[in-house]
Amino acid sequence: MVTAKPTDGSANAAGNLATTSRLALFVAVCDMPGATEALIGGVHRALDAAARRLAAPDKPVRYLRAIYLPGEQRCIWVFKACDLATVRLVNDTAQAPFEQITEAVEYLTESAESVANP
Amino acid sequence: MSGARAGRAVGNLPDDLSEFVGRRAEVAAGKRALAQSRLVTLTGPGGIGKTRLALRLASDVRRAFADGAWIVELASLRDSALLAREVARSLGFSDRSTLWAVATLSDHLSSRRALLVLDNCEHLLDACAVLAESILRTCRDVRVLTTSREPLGVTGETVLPVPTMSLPDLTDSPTPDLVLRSEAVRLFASRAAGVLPSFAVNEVNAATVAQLVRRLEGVPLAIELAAVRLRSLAPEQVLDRLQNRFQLLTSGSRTAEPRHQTLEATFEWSYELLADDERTMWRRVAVFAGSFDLEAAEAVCDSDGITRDTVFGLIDGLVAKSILICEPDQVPARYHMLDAVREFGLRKLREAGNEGRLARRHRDWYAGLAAAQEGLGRRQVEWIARLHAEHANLRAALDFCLDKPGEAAAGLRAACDLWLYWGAHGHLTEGRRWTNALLAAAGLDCRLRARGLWVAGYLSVSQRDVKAALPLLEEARHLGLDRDPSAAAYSTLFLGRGVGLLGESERGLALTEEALALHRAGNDWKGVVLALVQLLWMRILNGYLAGTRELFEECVSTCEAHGERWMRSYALWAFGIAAWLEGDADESTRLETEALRLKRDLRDEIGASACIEVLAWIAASQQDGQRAAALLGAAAGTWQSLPGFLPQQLQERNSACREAAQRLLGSGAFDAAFTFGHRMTIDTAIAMTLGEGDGSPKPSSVAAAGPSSSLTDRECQIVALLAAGKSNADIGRTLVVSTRTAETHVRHIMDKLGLSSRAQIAAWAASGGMDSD
Repeated sequence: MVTAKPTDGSANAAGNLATTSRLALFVAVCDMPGATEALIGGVHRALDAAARRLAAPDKPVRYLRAIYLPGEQRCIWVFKACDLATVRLVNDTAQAPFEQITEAVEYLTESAESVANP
Repeated sequence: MSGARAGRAVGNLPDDLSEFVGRRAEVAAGKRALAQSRLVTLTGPGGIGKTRLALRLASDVRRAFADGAWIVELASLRDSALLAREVARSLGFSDRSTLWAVATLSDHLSSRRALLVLDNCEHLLDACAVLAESILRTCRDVRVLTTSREPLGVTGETVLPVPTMSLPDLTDSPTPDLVLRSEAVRLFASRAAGVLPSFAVNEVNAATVAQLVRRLEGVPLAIELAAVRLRSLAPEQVLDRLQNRFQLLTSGSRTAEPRHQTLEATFEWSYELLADDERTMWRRVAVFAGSFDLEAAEAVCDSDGITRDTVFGLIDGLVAKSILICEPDQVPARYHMLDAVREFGLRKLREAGNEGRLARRHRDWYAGLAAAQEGLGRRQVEWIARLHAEHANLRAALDFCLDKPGEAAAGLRAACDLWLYWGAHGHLTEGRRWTNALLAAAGLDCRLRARGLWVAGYLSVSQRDVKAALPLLEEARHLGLDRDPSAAAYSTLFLGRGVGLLGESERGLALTEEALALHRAGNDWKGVVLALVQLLWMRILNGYLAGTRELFEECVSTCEAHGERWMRSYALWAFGIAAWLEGDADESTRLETEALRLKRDLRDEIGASACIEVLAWIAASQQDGQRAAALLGAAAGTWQSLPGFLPQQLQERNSACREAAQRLLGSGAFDAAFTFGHRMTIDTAIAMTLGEGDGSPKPSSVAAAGPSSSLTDRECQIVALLAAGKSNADIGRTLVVSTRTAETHVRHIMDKLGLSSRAQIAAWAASGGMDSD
């Protein structure tokens, strides 16, 4: 049985942070024509390092993963954070390219959620 | 050309402006640390001498780095997203791509042995740490030396706290010899002698000088500020006044770190010793970021009792008191403050309630500069140099506009005025960041918005980010056709460029022709020239050679009438390609050579590489494989930082040239000649291409050099040292032989290899000559 629900727990998460104790999901999207595994890996490591350095009790942020779409040569960097400005700061600190940063809602199956949100 | 690329010159370390005193233990510790660790950070508060120590260390060890030691000054950089590009700029190349700038930087450094000095990292600590980690992971022969008020906190970092200078021991009757053993006293004596040549530490003043430097706790900046007062005070008077100031300070807060208190007290004391108008000037010039010139100081600082006529005298007075530092090699003279001194001045400005007013005057001056500069025209080169020198202040002015409510429109106007500076001189990412941020903030004045949109679109197209460019340019065109003919013309022009990059050549040509007509109707000669070059280029690229001569001739005559060289050089380059495509190699060579000479004068590295590229094709078509391979190598270094810069049609020519040269030479000789060209400075590459200079490396002579097996072991050692930039005297010291013996060895090496200069030996070694048996 698959139950789809937004991972932030609210019925309509778009544009709203659920509670201050919950982090929202954000994605930074970037076209990366000609990107190589080494290049994407480099940005991925830099974002991880930047998020770890910048995370603070009053400005929580976690860098989760990169998703690369080879057919479109586009990369998506995925974060959980308190706000968009913090995600932008992480990107700027890593000097990671992006065209836009936007809040996202992720729908997971129950089994996937238990892995994604231990 | 300044700032030659890493791997192609020895670096950009500045000369010392004053004697470097003491720090023997710290220099030794720093060298040991750099030998063992790939990341070394010098820490300490402002005024402790971190930068001077870093520069001394870098200077001492730079010969160990074949590709040089490079300093990146970060004090005036506020935007962490521009850090990697700022490093690239300091290394002498501009990253115009939209890719991850750190990767472009790493690619550039990965095959090089260089020392990077990142100075003043504290306000960009996290970005510097992430950058350092990334570089060190991918560039195994690069070492990084940073200065910061705190460690970067990177695994493998060696932290060297910079202590205060050594102090004289307290004794009842210190002798001059005794007190001069301390670094602090020697520093004091050196700086005092700079303002009072007759000054020396003697029996009369030794005790006082010892007490003075102890009072100042050996903080170098505090010592320097005190020493210059000997121009008009005796050492005892300096000490008395300082004692009074310190009593006042210690009666207040005790929470500040002691050395910081010392420096703060010294600043307050120096400030109090100034006349009222000098104090005012210290506060006001603190508003400048980086360095500034007299004209800027006169414009920004004159008001309320300070007139333009008095500004120079006040500046001169602050220089004499070491509040300001004059940069002697600049014309016109430029001045700057050390960060700690500037911070104090800004604090005083804030306390006086004048920071906002001065910041506005600063913005007005630099916005005026942006409006007055010529993107194209007779004084273009002069303006490029001036804007480059003022870059930090331009950033500060734009920052002000972005931060202050209601100022974004003024900022957008200034950012738009600088469109060619951003676009043609390697600041594409930065220009985009400013224009996009100011567009978002600037409100709805349609004409300004249209202008901002086409500038943002132009910068995006120039960075090959056509997807981002098109909606900006289309909106600008829509607004412009309705309200602003100039915006309509420029947006149409760059829209044509953008769609051309997407392969829509017919539409691109039609839009460019429309833009040309709009610029002619508006009597905008600059727009006309831009459109003519773009039309010429697009026709050639698409094989429409008919009519290109008329376009070329009109463009050149318009440029000559206005003293415009930048676009003239591109017209020559493009028409040179047309001539080659029509089979006229001689005419093509003449045009490309003329363009290349202009590119050198204009410091247009990308344009120069484009000319060298075409001359490589000509060489291959004339069966000169050596020259073709070397020129391809010389141009390749530029294309590395500009992925996708060469259009498909030219990439095909590049590949065909490469294959032809490989067929002529064989792969081994091709690789050697290609590497030989690739490792050159751009200046050397231009000289080689133009066949200039006595003894400049020639690919044929280096490639034809004798085998390394003809050299003795000692001679092989000497070749390696030559390749590392060692002089004959250095070689002698290293190998424990006389300089004359080293010279003799070098002559023998030249004879055996059939070469005629040290530069040729180094080039032969760089191209793998030592591995060639």
